[in-house]
Amino acid sequence: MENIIEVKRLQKEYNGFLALDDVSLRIKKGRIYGLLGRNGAGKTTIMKSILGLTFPSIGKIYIKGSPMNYKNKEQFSTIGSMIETPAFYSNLSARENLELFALIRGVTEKGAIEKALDLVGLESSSNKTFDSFSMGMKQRLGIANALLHEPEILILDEPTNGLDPMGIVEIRSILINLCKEFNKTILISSHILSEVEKIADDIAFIEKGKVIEESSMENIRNKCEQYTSYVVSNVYDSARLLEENYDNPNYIVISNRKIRVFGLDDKTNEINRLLTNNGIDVFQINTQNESLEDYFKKITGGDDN
Amino acid sequence: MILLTVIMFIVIIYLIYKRYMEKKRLIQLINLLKEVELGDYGKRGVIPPNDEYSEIYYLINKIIRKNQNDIIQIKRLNQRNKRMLTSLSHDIKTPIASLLGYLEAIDKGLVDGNEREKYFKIALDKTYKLKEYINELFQLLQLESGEYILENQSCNICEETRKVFISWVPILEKHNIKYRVNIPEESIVTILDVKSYERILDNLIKNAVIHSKCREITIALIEKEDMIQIKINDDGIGISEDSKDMIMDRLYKVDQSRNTQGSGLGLAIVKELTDKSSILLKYKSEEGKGSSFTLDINKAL
Amino acid sequence: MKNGIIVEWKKIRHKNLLKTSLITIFLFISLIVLKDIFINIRVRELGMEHWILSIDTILIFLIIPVISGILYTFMINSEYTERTIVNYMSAMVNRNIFIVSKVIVWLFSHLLMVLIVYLVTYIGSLVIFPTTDLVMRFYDFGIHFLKSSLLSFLSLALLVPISIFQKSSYIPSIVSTLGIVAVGISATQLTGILPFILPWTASFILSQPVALPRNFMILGYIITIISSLLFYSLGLVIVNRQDI
Repeated sequence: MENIIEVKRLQKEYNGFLALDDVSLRIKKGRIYGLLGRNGAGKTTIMKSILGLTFPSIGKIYIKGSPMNYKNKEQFSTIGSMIETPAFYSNLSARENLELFALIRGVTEKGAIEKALDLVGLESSSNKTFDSFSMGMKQRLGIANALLHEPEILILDEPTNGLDPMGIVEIRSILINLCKEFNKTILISSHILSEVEKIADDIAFIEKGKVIEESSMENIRNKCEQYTSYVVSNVYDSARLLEENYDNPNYIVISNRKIRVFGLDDKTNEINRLLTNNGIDVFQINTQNESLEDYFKKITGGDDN
Repeated sequence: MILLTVIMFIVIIYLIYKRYMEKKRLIQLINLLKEVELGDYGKRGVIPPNDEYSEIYYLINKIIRKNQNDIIQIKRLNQRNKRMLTSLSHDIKTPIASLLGYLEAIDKGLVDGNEREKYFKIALDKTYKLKEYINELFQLLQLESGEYILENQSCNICEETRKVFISWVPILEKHNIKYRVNIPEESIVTILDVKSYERILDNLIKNAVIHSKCREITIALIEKEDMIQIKINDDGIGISEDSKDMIMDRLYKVDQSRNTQGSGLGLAIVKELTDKSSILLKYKSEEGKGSSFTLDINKAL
Repeated sequence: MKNGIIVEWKKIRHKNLLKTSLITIFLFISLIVLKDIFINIRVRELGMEHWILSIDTILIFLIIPVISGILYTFMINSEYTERTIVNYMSAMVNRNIFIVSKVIVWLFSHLLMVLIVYLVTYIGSLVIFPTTDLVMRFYDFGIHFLKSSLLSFLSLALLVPISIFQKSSYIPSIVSTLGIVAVGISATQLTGILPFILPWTASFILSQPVALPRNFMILGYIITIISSLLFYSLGLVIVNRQDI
């Protein structure tokens, strides 16, 4: 599977502030790629760089194998996007706004505007002026605009921002459908983990302009797999025993009575015996999954919002 | 004089510009078609609606889109078939492996006397089941490929329904399943492929008894304005929300263990047959409470 | 390119700013003409050339440039403040066409404003300075106003780079507009070759319906055209390097 977008070692400075620090990403064709990070972590800056709106000081970007050229209309005619807030001309209606974009970018079929409005559920509001739109309606128009020219690649910055729960489900199913049915590539960003979790095939964690981790969701889910919690009388002795008896055991001490061991979940009996044989009381053994949230907190070292 | 030259100048510039735009559009079109020819059916020609080439572009896009859809359908079908193949090979290999187990035990002389008789019986039983499974599978494939031809004839649907149900009574009584029959005494004539109809009822009842593990089953026949409705209700394990859409899929069984009697094909066959006979099949189910299957048959005159 | 221009026009066509501007200018010129018809009798003695000169000074080089400059500032500025530029630029791709389309539509609006002045002045002139040769005067006025409108438009070229550079703030370009207008009008105070060196005073002087030394005229035109081209190019360079 080729990389349809490749970002290599981007660096971007704003007035001495390092917005992007050695950012590299590989976005594969036909999959949904989630950029996850706090507000201000650099997700929007990455997307703007890919779209040629912002120029990084160092680094290269490749779209479909060719270097990104911010002047090349052909290259961008296959990309649809919605960056920052959905911004349209307030004195024009939804339909008129889309007509503008149809004129400068082009469309692929007759009635493309109708189709796009239908898809996001704005058919009935199409003649109302944009400044009368609610946040949710603006977001929908943004998505309609991104889809207007049947692009192969979608770059969406927090697409479910401001939508009601029904809307979020709708948009999510639209995006998944576009990817699975039509093999479109979708890059979305969010600061809400549960959103990304439900939809992304690949994911990258962004924090303070750096890529903390980039991997497929499958890998991450595997990593977040089983762990076993042991409530013991002496965590430190337990830790020592684990180190002595197992090769590089992956564990963390949760409290002065609880230790969490990742993997090794088929050896709970063994571990139990090991601890009790060495005079440590084991009060509880619990095997469960680490949630993605825990994993996220772990690798970014703090609370996510 | 100067004005005239200026106007001529502007006209010439305009004509050159037009020609340039034309060439650009044509080159764009050529590039698009080249990429599509190489197999990239996701590409589209993007053009403003007021351009004179827009109609050509739209038509070409239509063709490309249709191609893409066809490919998607084929891919989907292929994936389904692949999954079916893996699943079915399992469904056939497992009973055969077990069958061989028993036969080899007999052959190697590992059992004798009563045990031996028992093993023979078990092996025979398994062979019958396998035969039934393969028959069902074959019928299902026939239905799906359109090779099965319906033989419609007029019949008394009440009588037919009663006949099928009665043949199940011994089994119901053996399993201590309570039953209620609500079929009108009079004769209601309609046109059906009798064999298919019997099959449908058979499979629905089997589903209630064997797969849903019900304690009570009801069958009712109601004559309505322009259709006849047959309802089969059971109070078995039911089907959860998530599984609802999938039970008609030939591979799916709600009870995930593959060791239950019968196969996942029963309901899939019901679906195929009802589709082919223009019988409307509806079902309602609630996990743990039971299921209800409804057949709406058009009254033929 | 053609669609770029169409789109920019659609953006401001129904905007209140454009409508108010045109109405304001109409009111101004109508008031002045009416004043000169009914109140200011001396006008007839001073002659038509002098009258045109005064109209030029008040409208073509004072009111219209200010309003036109504000209009253009708004055209560029609103894209940044409403952030539509982010959305639009993802589709537009070619930033040069973006700016050039805006400038062309700006020019069109500017000419529209002058058109109103032209027509009202023409009608007024027929009342104040009656003549039988209607067509000739129409043509003469046309040439004159076309020339002065283009010159006043070119003198505003400085706004192009400034408005792009300032992004969402609008103060620098408003201040520049007023500055340009002030400098332009001060041309009346300058003598000799001086007015022909600064592009803004040059455009004012060159539009006057008076005879000017030929060398100075050529110098003036060259300075005006070259400087405006430089400013336009500067604008394009800035927009191409800008992080949106």
